[in-house]
Amino acid sequence: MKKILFAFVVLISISTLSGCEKYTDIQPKGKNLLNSANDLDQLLNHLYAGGAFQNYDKASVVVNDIYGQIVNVPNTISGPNSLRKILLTYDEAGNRADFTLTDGVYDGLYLIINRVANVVLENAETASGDPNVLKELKAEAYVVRAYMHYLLVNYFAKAYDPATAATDGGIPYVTKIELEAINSKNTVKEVYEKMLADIESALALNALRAQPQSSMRVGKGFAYAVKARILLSMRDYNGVLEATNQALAFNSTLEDHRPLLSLPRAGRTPTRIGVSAPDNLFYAYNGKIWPILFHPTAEILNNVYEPGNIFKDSTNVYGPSPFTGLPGAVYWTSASYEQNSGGLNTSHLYLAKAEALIRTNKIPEGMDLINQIRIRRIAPYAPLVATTEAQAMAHLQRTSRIEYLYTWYNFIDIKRWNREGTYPTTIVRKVNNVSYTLQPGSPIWIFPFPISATQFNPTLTQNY
Amino acid sequence: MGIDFNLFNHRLRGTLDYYNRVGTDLFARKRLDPSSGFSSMVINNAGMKNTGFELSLGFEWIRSESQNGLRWSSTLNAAYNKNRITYVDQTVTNPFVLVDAGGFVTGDPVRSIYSFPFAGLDSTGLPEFFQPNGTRTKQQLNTINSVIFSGSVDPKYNAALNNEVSFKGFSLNVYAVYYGGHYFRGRPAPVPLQSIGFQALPNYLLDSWTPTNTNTDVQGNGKFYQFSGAGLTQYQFADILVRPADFIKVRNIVLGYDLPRNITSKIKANNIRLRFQVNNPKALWTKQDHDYYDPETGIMPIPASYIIGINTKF
Repeated sequence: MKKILFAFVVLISISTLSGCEKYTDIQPKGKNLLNSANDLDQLLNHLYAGGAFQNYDKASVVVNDIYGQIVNVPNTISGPNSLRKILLTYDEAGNRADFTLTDGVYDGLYLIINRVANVVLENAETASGDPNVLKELKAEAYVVRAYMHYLLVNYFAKAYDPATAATDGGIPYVTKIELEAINSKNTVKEVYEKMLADIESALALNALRAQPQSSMRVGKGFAYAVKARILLSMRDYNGVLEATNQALAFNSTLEDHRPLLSLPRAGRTPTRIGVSAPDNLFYAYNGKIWPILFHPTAEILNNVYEPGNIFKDSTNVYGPSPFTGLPGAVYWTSASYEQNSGGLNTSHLYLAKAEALIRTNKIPEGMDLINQIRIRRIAPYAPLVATTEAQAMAHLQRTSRIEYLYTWYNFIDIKRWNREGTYPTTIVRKVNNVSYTLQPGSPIWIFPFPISATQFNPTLTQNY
Repeated sequence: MGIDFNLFNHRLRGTLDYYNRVGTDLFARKRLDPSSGFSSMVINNAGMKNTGFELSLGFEWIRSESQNGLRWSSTLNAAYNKNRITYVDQTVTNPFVLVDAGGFVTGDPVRSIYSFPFAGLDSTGLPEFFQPNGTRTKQQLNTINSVIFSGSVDPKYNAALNNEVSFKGFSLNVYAVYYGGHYFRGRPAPVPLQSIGFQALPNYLLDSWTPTNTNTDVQGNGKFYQFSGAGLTQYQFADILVRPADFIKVRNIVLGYDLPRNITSKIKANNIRLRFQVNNPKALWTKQDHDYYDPETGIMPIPASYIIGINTKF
């Protein structure tokens, strides 16, 4: 008996003390193990919000939409050197990389790419559950991965130029979670090809819903909208037309500002419930109730807003601001307008389609789309007409500048047009009679990779 | 490695140990390229080295054969420890986080104080700090290499000495300790006051900067008050506020008297012991005069207590 017991103990010792694995094999109870369709579905219920979609302090300042949220502009400019000062004064000599220890956009978007999209794509093959649900989840993940890379490549690299994209430095296109591997930087061309390939993979699965489960989940409309944005950046206007037409079949509802006019003047507060707004294709934001406290620049207020803009001229949304230290400054006062600052709306489709039409010599059709937005924004309304492509593009640029105000897309689009060179914008910011100029080809249009990334990834040379 | 010894007819007993303990593959945070989706992970990624001596001595100065004879013996325990991190991924890159919350730096002890190098007040009374290149600045120091090491919180040396004297029923026991080689933020930052009201005021105001009193590190107050912005925040963590925390303290003194048997037997007691004890009297010695905080507690000293007692056994 004793012998048996002894042998038993030895056996247990051998089986339990037989050396450590690098990673534990024990499956914790009650945790999401990401091995069933339901687990992966929960993972895709991500809150697309916060620092990953940061634009108020960087991209929107560069493009001169705003001075920032609460920023005393003269004090910042006369104060010690800082990233904010460099961006406000367009100081090309200022070493922005030194001030970028970390970058919320870089960390946040790659977090989504890996911890949401790549996890789903890696685990969906082996996960248990309804194969059709798994197909849908995979398709969603492909679109999420493509879209987050789209924001990243437009933020950290030059805009796409067919002539140089094969050699322009881009960003790492990350398709696999490998903690200790170096994700090499791809060229701009490679990044765009991979984004398109991901969208095609998503569409080929033919599993996305016509209407997504929520505004932070992917439906067919958003998949085609991302494709349209990628192709717009690649200047494939026929492709944009096709993709926008497909997307508009799922959602073509535009936000309408005219109902505000029927309210008494004092009650006209722009309101948008972010998650349920009907014009969302995909909802992502930096701050939930933003653009509250955003300070539009004098140039936006005086030169870009069309006369009769309902928000600006017929509501109380802008109030005088004591914060910027500039005469005549105003700020957005409404806390009930939850803007979609990082995702895509139907208006992105209208404007992308309009540009594609204008550029393929269908100017009246393009102007019609622009006017469909304008009629909902401007009172009294008069349609704009154009006879040449240049006139039409000028109208489009002005309309989209206000449509995309306080979001990522003025930065992305003006950078795109500047790179193309046909309709460039030289941005001039005047502060207390001093003019600061941002040339179309300035390196300021490309944000530096953060030190937290460059110190570990030797392939991440700056793209400017 | 150690030796035990017993000398002079058992009068001197002692042990001496030397150790050199190297820890490797300790758990620590390692930073990653954020494009992996994670900015850091906890893995076996740190090393630490502890080197030191431990000494224990006992010596009988006076021995006595009889119960009531004079005896005097002492014991001394002393230790020296040097602790340093041999390798770690320095995850703290923000100088304010390092000075405030601390962090691990290769080559320094585990629990270290970091601070900003104070450069004195400028000609207008505003605090200045040294930048890494040696120039003075009133601005915020942004880089991690502008932070300097100001010593460890943990004592390098410690010692405890116990003395016992007894004679004819009287006994005296004195227990004293010494801690040394460590540092603490021993002085609060002299925050400048704009308006000085009728209230209890800090005494550093007496040495405030004025155009005629420029040899001071206290900023101007009242009519000479100036807002110093980043300088004030940095002053909280200035190196001049870090002070050596070395001290010698008597932990307790116990004076006892056992009443002789012929007295105790009158009340049918086996034993009566009178005792007078003092705990935590004022520090005997500190390396630097501490006007603000006690070097042991970091705040108020432990209050002294006096105990008088009678023990009887029937």
